[in-house]
Amino acid sequence: MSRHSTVAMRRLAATAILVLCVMYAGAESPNPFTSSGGPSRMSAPASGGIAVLAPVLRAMTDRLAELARQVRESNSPGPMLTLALISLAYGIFHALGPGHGKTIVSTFFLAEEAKLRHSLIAGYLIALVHAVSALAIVLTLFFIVQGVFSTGFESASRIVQTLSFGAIAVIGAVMLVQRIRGVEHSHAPGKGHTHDHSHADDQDGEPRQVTFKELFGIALASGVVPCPGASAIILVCLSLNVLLAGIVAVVMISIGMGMTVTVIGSTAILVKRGVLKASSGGHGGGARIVRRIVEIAGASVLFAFGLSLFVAQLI
Amino acid sequence: MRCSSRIALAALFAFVPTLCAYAHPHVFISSHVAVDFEGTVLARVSVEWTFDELFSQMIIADYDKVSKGSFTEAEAMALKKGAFDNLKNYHYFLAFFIDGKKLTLPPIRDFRPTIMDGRLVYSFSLSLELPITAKLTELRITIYDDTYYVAFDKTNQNDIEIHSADAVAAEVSIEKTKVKPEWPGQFMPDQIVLRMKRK
Repeated sequence: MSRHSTVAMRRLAATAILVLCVMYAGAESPNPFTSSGGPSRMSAPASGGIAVLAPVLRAMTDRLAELARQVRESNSPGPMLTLALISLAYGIFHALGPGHGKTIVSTFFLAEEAKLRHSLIAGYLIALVHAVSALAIVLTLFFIVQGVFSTGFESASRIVQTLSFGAIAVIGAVMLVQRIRGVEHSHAPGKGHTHDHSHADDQDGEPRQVTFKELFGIALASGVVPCPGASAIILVCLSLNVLLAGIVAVVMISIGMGMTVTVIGSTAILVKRGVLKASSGGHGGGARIVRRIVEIAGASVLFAFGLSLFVAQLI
Repeated sequence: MRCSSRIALAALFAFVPTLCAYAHPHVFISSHVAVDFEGTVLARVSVEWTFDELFSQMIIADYDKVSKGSFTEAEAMALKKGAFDNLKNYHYFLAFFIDGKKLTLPPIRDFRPTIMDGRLVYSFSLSLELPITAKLTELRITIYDDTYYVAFDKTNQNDIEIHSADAVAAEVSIEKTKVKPEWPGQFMPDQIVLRMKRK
């Protein structure tokens, strides 16, 4: 590989990372009606694209509430099935917005060595965590706290969100330290004091792969913040006395969100793979340097993202 | 090698569609605006927001406890405190420009929540007390949440009403905003434009 194309590849890697970071730097804003305090410092203005998507989301939102009523009034499975399908679509579209773990998952997969199936696992773990968390929070507020739901939900979300950002910052920090120290082999115990020469033997060895524990950690940190839309539909179903419809809706919304997250995660894995492949087929010194750049950048963004949002929540 | 860099680039472009979805709405509102004149003075602007089903039902379930279908005085007060007053941090999603100059938002008056066909409706007004002279005055109104938690339906000419404009010649239109976007591709909502002159 010529020196010239290595430079070009590094530039490509840097551009890829930059695009990823800029694109997803956003977090769920607070509800302007029911929260207290001002708008989130991290929220961004909308693009023309979302304004086109807004009527679609609106139609889905209205339809969800209407279907919940129909489920109560009808004995046939029709409304429940439609509710499930619209919830799935709502989850897919809705998760395209900021929040919902996209920054987290894409930077995580840049920093990790992962196969495409890992992004699928991450997507579905996030869906599972989200459904359980949204149901637990809504049911607790509805049956145990019994206060004003919309206000209680905002406060609960804020606490969960703060904890989640803190967890993301910690995960990012741990990964960043690991990547900088060059810990590449999970099966190599006591390798904290890695020396450069010990790596010479590992050049062509299989790099470490992401573990289930790590995937679950990231899913827990990013999926635990309940989506206000999903929570509102559970609440509506609760007040209509059709809890089953609420559970179906939130599970389907979560699966839809998981699907979007899987696509984002897969794309991050493919981008990384493409960049590495492009730099001398993923082997040799050039590729190792590019791999390190991508991984350290991914972990840095994950850490910076978690930390800045954690701090923004506290002030 | 050439081929794989193309794959990498293609993968990058796969991200572009998500750029369009930078912020996403949870609450949807269709708004209605009425402009009231008293003689040659633009006295007040009254705003009416009709909410989407999901947000409506959540707020109704929270605050409409006594006589279902309408809010009592106490319920309306509680609702104002719990689901309206915080909008002061968002300038009530409103901005007024008179002849290109942004106006300090006048205080909000007469807030009243109602339920119409199962939908939550907020109405309130703002006293502008703007004297209209023989010189043409241009009032531009933006209704927009720049955090995009709330998406407002596109305003139509039919959503704007003018009351008691006997002494004033007023023309209404919906026009592109004159506010410059901060970044390319940013969504800029249309403005309601009133051009007024004393008759």
